Amino acid sequence: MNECILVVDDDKEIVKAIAILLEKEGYRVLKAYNGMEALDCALDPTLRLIIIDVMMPQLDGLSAVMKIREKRNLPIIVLSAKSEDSDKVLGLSMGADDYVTKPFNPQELVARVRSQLRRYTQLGDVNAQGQGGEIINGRLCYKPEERVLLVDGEPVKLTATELKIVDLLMRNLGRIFPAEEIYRRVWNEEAYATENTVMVHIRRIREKIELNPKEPEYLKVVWGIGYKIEKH
Amino acid sequence: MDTKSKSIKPAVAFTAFVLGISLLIYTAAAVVIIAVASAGSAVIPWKDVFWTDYQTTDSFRSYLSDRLSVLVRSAADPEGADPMTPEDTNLLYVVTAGDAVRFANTDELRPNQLPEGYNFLLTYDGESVRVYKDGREISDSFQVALPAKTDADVSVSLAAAEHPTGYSYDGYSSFSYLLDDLRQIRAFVIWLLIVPALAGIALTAWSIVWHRYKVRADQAIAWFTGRVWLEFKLLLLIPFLWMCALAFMCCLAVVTNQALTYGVLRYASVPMALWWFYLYVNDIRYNFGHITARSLCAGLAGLLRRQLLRRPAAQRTERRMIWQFAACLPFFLFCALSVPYLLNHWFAYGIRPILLLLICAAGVALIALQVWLMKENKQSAAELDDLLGRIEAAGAGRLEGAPPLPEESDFHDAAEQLSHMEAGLRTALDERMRSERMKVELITNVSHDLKTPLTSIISYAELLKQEDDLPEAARDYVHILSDKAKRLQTMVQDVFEVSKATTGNLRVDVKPLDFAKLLRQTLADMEEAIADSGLSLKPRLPDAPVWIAADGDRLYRVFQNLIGNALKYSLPGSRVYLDLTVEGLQATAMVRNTSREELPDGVDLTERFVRGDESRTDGGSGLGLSIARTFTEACGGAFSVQTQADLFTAAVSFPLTMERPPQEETI
Repeated sequence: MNECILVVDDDKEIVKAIAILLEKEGYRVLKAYNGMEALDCALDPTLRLIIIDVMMPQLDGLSAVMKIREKRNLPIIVLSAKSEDSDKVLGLSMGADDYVTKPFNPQELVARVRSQLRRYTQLGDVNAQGQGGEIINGRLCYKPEERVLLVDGEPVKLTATELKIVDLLMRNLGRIFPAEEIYRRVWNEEAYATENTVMVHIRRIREKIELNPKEPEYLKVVWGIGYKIEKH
Repeated sequence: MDTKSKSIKPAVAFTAFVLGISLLIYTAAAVVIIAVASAGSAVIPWKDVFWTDYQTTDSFRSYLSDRLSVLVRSAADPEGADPMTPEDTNLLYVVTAGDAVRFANTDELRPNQLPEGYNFLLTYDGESVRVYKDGREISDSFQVALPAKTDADVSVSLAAAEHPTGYSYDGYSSFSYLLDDLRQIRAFVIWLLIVPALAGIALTAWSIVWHRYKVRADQAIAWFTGRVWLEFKLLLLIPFLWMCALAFMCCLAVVTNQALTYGVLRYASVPMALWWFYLYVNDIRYNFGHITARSLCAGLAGLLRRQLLRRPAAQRTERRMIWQFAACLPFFLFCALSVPYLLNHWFAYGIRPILLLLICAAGVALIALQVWLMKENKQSAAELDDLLGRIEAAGAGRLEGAPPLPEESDFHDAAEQLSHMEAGLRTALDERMRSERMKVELITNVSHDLKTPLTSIISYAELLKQEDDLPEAARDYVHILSDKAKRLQTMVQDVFEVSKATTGNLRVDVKPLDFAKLLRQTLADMEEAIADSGLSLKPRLPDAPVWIAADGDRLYRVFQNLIGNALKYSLPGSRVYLDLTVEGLQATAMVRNTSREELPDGVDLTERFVRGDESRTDGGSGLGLSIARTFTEACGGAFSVQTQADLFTAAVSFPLTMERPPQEETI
């Protein structure tokens, strides 16, 4: 799979490092060092994904993203040193598909690239088969009848207990469940001091579905209240 | 003031006090009346009140004296009829004149042979009286007035029944009447004097014992009387003084022995005046400082002032001018009315018309002056209004500035000053905002500038790691590089957040959450780290929810840091305690551990970059406690750290909240 990826950053070393990482994974990489160059490169018809920095001379990343969006429909990952939630929201609302803060974990970036590409190429037709009662939430897709959880279109191996927890949380996206409630529903028994048990399972599920289990995007702890799978 | 006290005790104590004092006054008055009335004659024979044997009473003695002298007088008179009632067998008598029995209702009476039921004998032999009771002579202790001497040789024997019985149709001759009188006197004294006196003493004593309750009743009454208008109280002084005069007359009547000529109702004025007076004294005692606060005049003045305050300053000034004008109006009216008089007496001689003319002229001049002043003041008031409006706007942060006032205005200088102040304030505000913005920008830029090279370092370290043909030593170096780069990353992020928090730019999303649950979740989250540390962590958390309002993510970071610190710096094998306690309306979580290193004295460990050991060779960024403090404070909590020898205690406390998370979120 020789998919072509455009990497844009004004720091040439960073571009080079990302390019090496991606090429090792078998991708073809185009390089650009400012927004204007990015616009030119974005016209390449073989292009499948763009990684673009925000703070760049000539044309900043977000403006470039908006311009590219006018012409192309492909996944865009925004790289930025700004780590505030408001910056992330701004980036995503400008048309980015993902937002990665610098300094990033190279492995995580590669994982995100893979996830975006898989969703874009393989699940491009997911919406067509989006019936059958399945629950789609960003990278996650849960089929209640088959009791299968797909992450980026690939089924994830979950134990029976994990699957029950996922089932409960996916069916009630965004709702916060206290540990006692999860325990009662999943283990079917009243219990005392359940926090550790539930947390262990939550952590294991996270490792299977999150790109960075330390900074989960889906399965989140609502501190002082409970757990939820966030709506995307 | 305790007016709403539902307790019955103050009411009882006060009633006891009023009744007790009233009864004491009543008894005192009654005693004085009787004493004055009986100054000449014994109205009440006091000694007889507590008789047990009627034969020992003064009444009995005087009755016998009286009978004796009547009998002697009747017997001495040859024509004299029997003055006694022979049917009245309570008193037996044998009266002889010479040798003949003149009057008798029985046979001979001898001291030791009295008929059954009789125990008292009095004999008179024309010379002396001898008295026998129960067969013994008691002439020494029983003195009877001797009857007047007569020529006839009269001797009298009188025997009295031990227990007088029966009823005689002749009221005067029966002992039973004497007994009735005695009983009545006794009842009178007991029920109308002694019982009220004792009750009065008892009630007064009770109210003294319950003094504090009585004081509360006093306060309650004072609170009530304090709400009465002063004018009304002053008006009530008139009937009060009248009542006092009445009471004084009554007292005068008592001392001058004319007490009985007054009706009972008039005597009611004495206690009424007294208690009325008590109310006044009570009122003054408790309401002295604010006795004028509640008065019709003060009320009206207050009402007017409130009405005025609702209007802008200019209108207020205008109102005051109108009142001033109204106050002068009678004088103007007088001037106007005197004009016809002036016209009539224009040609008359004398000084009056001239005086009036002068007064009239003064009136006109005054009116003119008033009108002119009003015009001037109105202008001033309008300017004052503008000025006040500008001050208010400046206070609210609207610094708009205004055209300067004319030179001759009263407020020209003040307006100038205000303009200066506004300008200064605007500059200060602009500067403040600029510096605020610069601070945030600086933090963001520095953070960005640090992160960009760090990205390269981390990326290339990762690439190096992936090189297969590196020598073993180089592989080690790469790992070290990678680790330190990651630590640098955490530090940069920490510095960024602490700086934002200290400049007040940290966003917190404060929501109600269960403190105990948050701690349990944090412990569950850090389970592995705790297990790896080899320390034993002892949580003591309440099972019941402890609701506080805080930002869950930030508070998690606080405890992650605190527990992480405890795990990192504790003496190996020691215990770490995590307690959550609720005291009053405050929930406090405490992390306590025994430090591995000796803790330095007098170092604020929550200062940025300060750590327990000064050499800085361990893993911490030195920001853990600082982050804990700034995040806690940003969420509205209080953070404190205590070191006691090697014992380290960090406390995070939050006020409890009544809010709960929305139901639908938690199901």
